[in-house]
Amino acid sequence: MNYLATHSTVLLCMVVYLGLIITLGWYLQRQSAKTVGEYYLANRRIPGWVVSLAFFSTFISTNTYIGQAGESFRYGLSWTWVGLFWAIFCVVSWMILGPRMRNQSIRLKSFTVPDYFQLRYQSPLSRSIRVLSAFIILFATVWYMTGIAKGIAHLLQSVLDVPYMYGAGFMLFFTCFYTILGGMYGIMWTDAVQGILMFAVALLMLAIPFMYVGGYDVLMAKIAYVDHVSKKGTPIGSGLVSFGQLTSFLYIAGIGLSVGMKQISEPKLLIRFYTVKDRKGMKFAMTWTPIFMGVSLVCVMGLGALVHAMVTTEEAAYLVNNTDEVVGFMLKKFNSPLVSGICLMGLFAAGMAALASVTLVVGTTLVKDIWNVWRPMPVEHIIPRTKLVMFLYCVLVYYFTLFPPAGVVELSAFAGSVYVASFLPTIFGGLYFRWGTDLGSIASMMTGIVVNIIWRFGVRPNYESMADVHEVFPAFIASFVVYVIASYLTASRKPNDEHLSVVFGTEQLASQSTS
Amino acid sequence: MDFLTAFPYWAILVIMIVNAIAVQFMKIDVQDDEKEKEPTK
Repeated sequence: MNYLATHSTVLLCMVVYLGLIITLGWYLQRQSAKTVGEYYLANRRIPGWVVSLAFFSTFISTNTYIGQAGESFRYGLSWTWVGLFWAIFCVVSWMILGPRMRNQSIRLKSFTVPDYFQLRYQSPLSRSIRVLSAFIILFATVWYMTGIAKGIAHLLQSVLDVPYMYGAGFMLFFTCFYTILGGMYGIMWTDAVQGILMFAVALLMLAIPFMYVGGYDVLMAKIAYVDHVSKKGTPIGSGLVSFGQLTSFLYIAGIGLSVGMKQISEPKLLIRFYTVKDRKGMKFAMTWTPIFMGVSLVCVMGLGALVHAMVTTEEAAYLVNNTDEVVGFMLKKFNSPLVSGICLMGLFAAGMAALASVTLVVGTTLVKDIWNVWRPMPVEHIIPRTKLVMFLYCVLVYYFTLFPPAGVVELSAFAGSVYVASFLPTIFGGLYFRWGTDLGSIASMMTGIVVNIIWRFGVRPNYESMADVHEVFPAFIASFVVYVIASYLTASRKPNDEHLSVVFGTEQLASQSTS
Repeated sequence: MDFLTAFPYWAILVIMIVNAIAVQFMKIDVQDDEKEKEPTK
C-alpha cells in the first residue's frame, strides 16, 4: 500500500499511456493483418505526417533520451555535436534516399531491405546477398534492442523502484505483444502517437534543470565551473562548457557518425520510405522530419551537462560512472510525480517505438529472407511464423539485457556501425550506381562486418592511441573501397540493361523515345 | 560557453530552416503504386 501511495501519480500516467497503446494496437489490428503486403508494409498507404513522426520516433529511442542525454553528464555540452551529425544525416537520408528508395522498391516489388538487395543485384549470387544481409540484421539488432531495454529498465528502477530484470522483461514483451497485434500498419500509427509525445517530453525534460535551479542565468553560472570529478578522477572545472575538454572530437565524431548514419543504412528506417503514400506525403516528411529531430536533439543531447547543476559532488562522482542513470536520477531529484509520470510516458514511447520497429524488421527478415528462402512456405504461413519468431527473438534479447556487455551508447553505436559499414555501400550503390555488381555488394558487406569486429574487439581495447577511433571509420571506408574495386573487377556481372532500366525507371522513357 | 560548444545548437537550427526552404523548391518524383500481388517468395 505504501508503494502505491508513493508512486500513484506516476503509475496512473503509465496506465493511461499503456492503455492508449493497447487500444490503438487492438483497433489497428483489424486493418493490418490480412495480407503479407499489409502486415509488412501497410500497403504503402501511410500519410506523410505519420511516416515523418514514425521515422523520428523510431530513430530517437531511449538510447538518445537516456543514453546520449546521460553521456553529456560525462562529456559536457560539446556532446551536442553528436546531435548535429544526426541532424545532417536526417536531411541526407530524406533528400538522397527517400524518394528513390520508395520508387525502386515499388518497381522491384520489394518488401524488405534484404529482398531489395536480391532483386536489385539480380544474379545467381543475389540470393546469397539477401541471406547474408539478413544475418547481419539479426546480429546487429540484438545489441541495439539490448541497449534500449537496458535504458528503460534503469529508468523504471530509478523512478518506480522496479527491479531491473522485471523492468526489462516488461518493456520487451509488452512491445512485442502490440507489434505482433498490429504489424506495420499498427506500428506506424502508434509510432506517430509516440512521436508527438516524445517531442513534448523533450521540451519538458530540458525545462527541468532550469526550473530546479531557478532560471537560465543561475544554471549557466553553476555549470560554468564545477568542482565535480570526471571519469578519470580529474576535476571537471570549466570542462562542461569548453569544447572538447572532456573528450576528443574524434570520439564525438565516431558516435555521431556511427549512430547518425544509421538513418541512411538501417533497415527499420529505410523501410519507412517504402510506406509513404504519395508525393505530397513525401514532401511533408522531407520537410518536417529534420525539424522534429533537430528540436528534440537540441533539447536532450546536452541535458546531462545541465544536470550537474542539480547534484552534489558525491552524487556527481557516482553518476559520471553510471551515465545511463542520469535522466532517472534527474526526475527523482526534481521530485514531481506528475512531471516524472509524463516524462516516463515519453521515455517509454521512445523505447517502444524503436523496439517495435526493429522487432518487426527482425520478424520479416527471419521469415521472408532466411526461412522462406531456405524452405519456401505457403503464403498463409508467413504472418503466423513472423509473429512466432518475433517473440522468440525477444526472449533472446531479454537474456542479453540481463547480462549486458556494454552501456547503452556503446551498444547502440556498435550496432549502428555494423549497419553503416555493411549496408551503406550496397544501398547507395544499388540506388545510384548502375555499375554496382553482386560480388561488389557481397564483398563489401563481409568487409564491413569483419573490420567492425576486429577494430571493436581487437584494436580499440589494445592500442591506447586508437581507443577513440570508432570502428565506423575504418569499417565504412574499407567496405566502400571494396565495393568500388570489386564491382570494377567484376563489371561483367552487372545486371542486364533491361533489368537496370526497370530498377532506375528508365524503361518508360526508352519506350516513349522509340515510339 | 565557447563558440565551438555553442556551434551545434545554431547549426541544427540553420539546417532545419535551409532544408525546409530547399524542399519547397525541389522537384520530387514519387511514383504511384500499382496494386501489388501477394508474394510467395
